[in-house]
Amino acid sequence: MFFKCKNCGGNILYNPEKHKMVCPYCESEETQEKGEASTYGANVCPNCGGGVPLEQYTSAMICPYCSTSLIVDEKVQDEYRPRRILPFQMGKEACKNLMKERFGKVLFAPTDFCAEARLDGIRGEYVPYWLYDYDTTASFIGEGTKVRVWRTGNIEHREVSYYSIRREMDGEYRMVPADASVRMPDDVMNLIEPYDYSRFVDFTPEYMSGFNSEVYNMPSAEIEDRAKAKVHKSVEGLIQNSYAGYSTTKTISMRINFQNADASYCLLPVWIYDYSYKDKKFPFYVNGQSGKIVGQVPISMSKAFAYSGTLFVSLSAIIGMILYLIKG
Amino acid sequence: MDQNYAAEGRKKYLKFFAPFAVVIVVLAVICTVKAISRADIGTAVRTNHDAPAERVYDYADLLTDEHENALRQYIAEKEAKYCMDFVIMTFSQPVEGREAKEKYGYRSTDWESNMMDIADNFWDENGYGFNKSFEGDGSILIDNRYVDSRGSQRGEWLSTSGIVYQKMSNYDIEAVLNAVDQYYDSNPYKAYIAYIDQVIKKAGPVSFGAGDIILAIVAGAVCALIFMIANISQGKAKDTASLTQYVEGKMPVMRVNEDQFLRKHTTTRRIESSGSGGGGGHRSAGGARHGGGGHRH
Repeated sequence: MFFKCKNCGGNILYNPEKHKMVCPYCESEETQEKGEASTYGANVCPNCGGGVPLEQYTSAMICPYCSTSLIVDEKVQDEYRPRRILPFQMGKEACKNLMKERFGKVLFAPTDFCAEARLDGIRGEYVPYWLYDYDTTASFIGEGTKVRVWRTGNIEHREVSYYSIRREMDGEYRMVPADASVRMPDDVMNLIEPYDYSRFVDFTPEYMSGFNSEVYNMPSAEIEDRAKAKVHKSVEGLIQNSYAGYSTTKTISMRINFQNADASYCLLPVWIYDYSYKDKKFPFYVNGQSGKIVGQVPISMSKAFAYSGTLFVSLSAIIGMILYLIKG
Repeated sequence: MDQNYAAEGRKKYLKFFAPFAVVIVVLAVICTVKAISRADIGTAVRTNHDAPAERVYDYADLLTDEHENALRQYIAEKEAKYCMDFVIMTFSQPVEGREAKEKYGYRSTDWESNMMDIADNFWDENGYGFNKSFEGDGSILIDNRYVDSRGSQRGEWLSTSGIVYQKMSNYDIEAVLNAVDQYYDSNPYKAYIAYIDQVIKKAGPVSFGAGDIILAIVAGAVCALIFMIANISQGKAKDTASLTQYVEGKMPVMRVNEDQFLRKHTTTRRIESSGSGGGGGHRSAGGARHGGGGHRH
């Protein structure tokens, strides 16, 4: 399916700034109607008839020929229908400006890194996530020491006191995320968090118009360990914070029980900038809600040597002349 | 399009280094002016005409006439170039003990105090100092060669005045005396030349040389390296999800929170202490400020 404008027939898209469907041609708002039926299987764009490279998990994509935003009906229904979607809060222009602001002053970045033509390639993508709910009970037993040092004359006294530490903590963890896309690097998706879940809405396909998307690539049970690892980290950190006054501590036992587990499927927004430099890819991921950027800028070594070399010559000359003026 | 990016890159590069170019040009102009203005500097003008012309007083007769004359000529050249007086006085006279104190009217029975007084007074009474006769720039080295049946009172004392006093630390004075000691017994002439050279090295005007060029190159290289590393290294994205990010109500329930004292033990250790000391300048009987020191042989 795709959405067309009732007024002009153009492909109407979701506008993150206005939080509604806006026709980029006639600027009509909320004038969408569904276009043709599913393209899945036929792999043909219902708007222009061009072949579209639909992959196994693709649920939404942009036609490479007519740039129509296509949504695969079968991939947004039944078991593939997300329980929630967090619509893009930040538009493409805002994302481009963010990239320019953050990386425009990186001196050794390739000159075209923040060029308008390159940044136009930024694409919005809804990434499939499993959100896990757990009720946890954690118990911790450890030993801590407190050290007190004082002096009498030229004698130093050092007193070490030992304490038994015991904690039991209950926590209701809700919507712990783990991305369900093989294409997305797990470490990057962990870093791009957090999302503000208060902006979640019930899923409707209109939010996908103008963006790429996938359905979950694996069932929730397969990646549950990643969510549990996040809960582990949180529980350990919270318990550690509760005994922060000790000089040293050691853990004797730490147990976490997970109960009443539940998982739900949702889509979260990510802007992706695929930049290539000297045949190597440097992907950048931007949280489509908060604008948090994850990625490493490539370094142009020719620029690095040109700048550093000139600086070396300039500073040597300046320091040399100053020394001459002082001493000569 | 690539050509446009290259042109934009060149533009940024030129813009970045424009301030450096301006500073270099300004400094180059100032250096050129200074170099031209200094071209005619060869001899300095003495402003103290009260002091006697003699600089070498060899009362102990340690030097040949030839060496004395050579020393006088050497001192004259160095004084004109470095604007500081150099005086050498050798003698052989007891400077230690009650007898010497009574006989020569010293204020002390101590070798160091009396050597210092002799050097300071000789300088003050003759009115030495390149620029003025009281606290003028320069130094005097006195060399006592007295030996009797009770032992040796041999040794040298260096007294500094004016700019030489201000510039030379105790460490510098020690370096001059050590240089003198190298030839003290074997060749007094060389010992006195060493005294003059070392004082010039420690208290003379600093001049621009190869060491400064190396320093400029090394400093430039270090700065450029730091600049390069700082610009290559990038801050990585951090995990900004808080510990309670996914906890309902942002607060877990701590059902048990117990800290129970088990035991304690105390250890003690003795703290070692250390001390240090130092010294400074002094005033002569005439009230002039001097620095200096001596070595007894």
